[in-house]
Amino acid sequence: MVTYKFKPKSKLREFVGEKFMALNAFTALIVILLIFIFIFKESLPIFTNSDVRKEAGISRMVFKQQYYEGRDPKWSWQPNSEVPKYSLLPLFLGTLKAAIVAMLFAVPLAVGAAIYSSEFAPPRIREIIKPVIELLAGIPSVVLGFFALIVLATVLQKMFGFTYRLNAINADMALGLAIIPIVYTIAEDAMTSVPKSLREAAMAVGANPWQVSFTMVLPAALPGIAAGIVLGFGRAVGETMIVLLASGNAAIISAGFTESIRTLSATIAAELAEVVFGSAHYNVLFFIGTLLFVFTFLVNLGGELVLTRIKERFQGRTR
Amino acid sequence: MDDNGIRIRLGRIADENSFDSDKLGTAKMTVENLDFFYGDNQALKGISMNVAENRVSALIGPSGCGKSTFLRTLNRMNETIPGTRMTGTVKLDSLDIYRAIRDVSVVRTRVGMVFQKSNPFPKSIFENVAYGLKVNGISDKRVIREAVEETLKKAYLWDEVKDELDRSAYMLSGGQQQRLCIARALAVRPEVILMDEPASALDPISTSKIEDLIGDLKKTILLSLSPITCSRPQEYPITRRFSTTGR
Amino acid sequence: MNGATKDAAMNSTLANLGARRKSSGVIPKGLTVLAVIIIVLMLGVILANVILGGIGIISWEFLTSPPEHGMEAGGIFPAIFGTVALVFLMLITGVPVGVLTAIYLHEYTQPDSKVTRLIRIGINNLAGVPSIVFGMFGLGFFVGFVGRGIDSALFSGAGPVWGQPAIIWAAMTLALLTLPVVIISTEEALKTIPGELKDASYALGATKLQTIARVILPRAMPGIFTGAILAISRGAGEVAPIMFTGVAYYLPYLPGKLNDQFMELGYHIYVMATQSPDVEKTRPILYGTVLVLLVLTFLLNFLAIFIRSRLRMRRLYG
Repeated sequence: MVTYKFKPKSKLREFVGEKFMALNAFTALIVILLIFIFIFKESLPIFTNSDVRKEAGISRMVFKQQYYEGRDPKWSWQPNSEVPKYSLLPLFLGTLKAAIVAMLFAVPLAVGAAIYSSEFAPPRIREIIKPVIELLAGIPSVVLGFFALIVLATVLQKMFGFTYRLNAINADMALGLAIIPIVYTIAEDAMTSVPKSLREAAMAVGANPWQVSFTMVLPAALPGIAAGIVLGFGRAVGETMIVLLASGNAAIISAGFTESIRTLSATIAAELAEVVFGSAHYNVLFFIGTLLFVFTFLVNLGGELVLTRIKERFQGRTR
Repeated sequence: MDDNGIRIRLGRIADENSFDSDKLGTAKMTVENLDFFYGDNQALKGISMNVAENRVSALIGPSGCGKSTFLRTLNRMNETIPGTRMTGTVKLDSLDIYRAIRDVSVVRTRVGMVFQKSNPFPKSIFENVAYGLKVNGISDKRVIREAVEETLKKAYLWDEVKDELDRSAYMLSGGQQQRLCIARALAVRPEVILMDEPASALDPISTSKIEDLIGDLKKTILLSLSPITCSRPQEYPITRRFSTTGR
Repeated sequence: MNGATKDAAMNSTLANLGARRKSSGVIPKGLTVLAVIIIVLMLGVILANVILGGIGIISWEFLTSPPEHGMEAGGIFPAIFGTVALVFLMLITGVPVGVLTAIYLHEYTQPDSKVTRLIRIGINNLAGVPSIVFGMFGLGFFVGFVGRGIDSALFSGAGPVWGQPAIIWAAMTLALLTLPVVIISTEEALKTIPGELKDASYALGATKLQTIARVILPRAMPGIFTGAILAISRGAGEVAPIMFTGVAYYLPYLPGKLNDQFMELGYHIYVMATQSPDVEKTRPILYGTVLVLLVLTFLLNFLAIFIRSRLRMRRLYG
């Protein structure tokens, strides 16, 4: 019989191992904090430095400014002109136009497809739709932007006779394509998790399948669908490449959607490369970044909260 | 029922030395006043018993009455489940395994366990048996090889697998896998082996192989059995009429 | 839905059923089918357009030679090389962190503890940060803080060595961006590991770390691979995070050191599409680059889906 003796195990190794893993686990959290700190820090001079404040303080970013003698005060974003102009309004407007139209385009398609997929589709078709959506989700945004720039813009211009080839509608359609997978996934999830008992109850009183879906399941899944829409909106606001390529990048204020727009995120992408480090322009760009970050952070937090509440509700835990 | 716990029968019997019911020999492990809780739910209540040294003892009771839970308290395996709590004492050779031994893995090398459903690792037969040695610091290849052969022989599995030690353990039949798990546990040379319904998932032939195996091990063994596996109750003089204790 | 809402909904359904003639419901149902068809069509149009436009130029030379004449001729090899190098560095820096995070969450914490919830908030929010914000963070933190810090520590501020755009900073920025994907994929894999295996390990006297290293990690490998592949396909397509952290449009060299700059497929597409002097000449190359990027992304996604379904099979059938 062979003899052997066991070695004792190192408690220190276990302890260090666990703490090291915990450190890694907190990385995500720490990074969020760091992102906020580092981006906000570069925008601080707007508030603290009097020179910067004169040029690009908060009031200059929000209110109409009179830039030239004898001309009316206006909102304008032209940081590189002789008299630098830093109004954020054109950018906000551009972002809103982009996001809202994209949602108008994407949400009906995504929710409609989700309804079909969860309520009416035979299983085999459902198995095809899922990869199709995943394929769509897998297309890099730069490719979508490229497509909108090269192909879609021409098609739309031919169809509708736009004055500007690259405009809000062009970019927004492509943006919508990028959002569809997000809204679809969450909406479909919300609808399939509606308990069977609800559907059966409706059918028991004689409703036919489409009535069951539209009058029972849809309202029940509404909070989940809403969360999906909110998260999609957050993504639309933050998306950069599509807008950069396809929207024309003109920071103007107008009511229509057939003109070029400039969004907050595209502004950062377009101008950060050439900006002078430490200048007021630089600070303002980082300030815009902070705004974007805070906005998407809040949107995400809200969406997640709604989704977890829904999950809890369906698992029987009432508040 | 005769309290002479040793002559059990999963089938045939283990011990050749019978003795008086008064003298069950020394107690290798003692349990005093054990209460066990899963969260707020009390699963075991006020259990006290001894596990006789070098004997095969059995706990018999219907499924769900806490046999597995009880066995797991004897080697602190319940600590892998969050939210569990226990009061009372469990002693191994008069050492309180919860309070006097700081490293829980030491307890488990001294009190081994074989589970109801065989659970070999997704590794080769050799690596399964060698696992216990490696995690406890043995790295000498020669030693490991000899130990693997030795334990596979003790588990009555060596002849069947000796040419295929590198094959995946999942290639073995159910009965063989369970014997592999027994060999794996034996390799660590525990002083006590706990077996939770070791043959309940097996066919009669495999079961009898394992019965022989257990009988020939000459170690302190505590089994749990459910009455269904005992075909003739009156022949099981069991150590503890465990049955519904604990509730 | 609690009892009261259920009753209310049923009552309204009953009322509707009674009040209206039972319409066959073709229109609403038809609309949803239309939605699906539109989506599929658009996807098809995009793919067809890219394939038709780009397939002509794909050749071995195209894939292996550098660009010439300001992108009007030649190939895109440096962009492919840069993308591969970038992604490789991203994996090295990101996957270990993600895997360890998932293991910690799964093995060391309770699902509803405060720690877990906090970490999950961090992960979910990280997943929602716009990629341009990552780019700014990469610039401000990695290039401006870490890089410059290294420079002043090692070279006392003599000329920027690490404090400038570099492939390592771009890779680490991307690693942060894809961290949630890795974490979630690993967690999915960890969930498939049966408790009996862990029990067997502990019962033999193994410690938690030993069980993780010898039993859990090997079993979770397919899931970790899936996560890595998904991270690659995401990372290879993102342009905004690397715009300021190290990518360049034309470099006469291939990145050889960690603080070199690099060319990359996605960025190449962006610049070529927006700043080419002669659009017609560069169009074929542009399409070719897009096709290469798309094929790469799709292949990776399919690979990940394939591995994931194999994993699921294994979970069901042992």
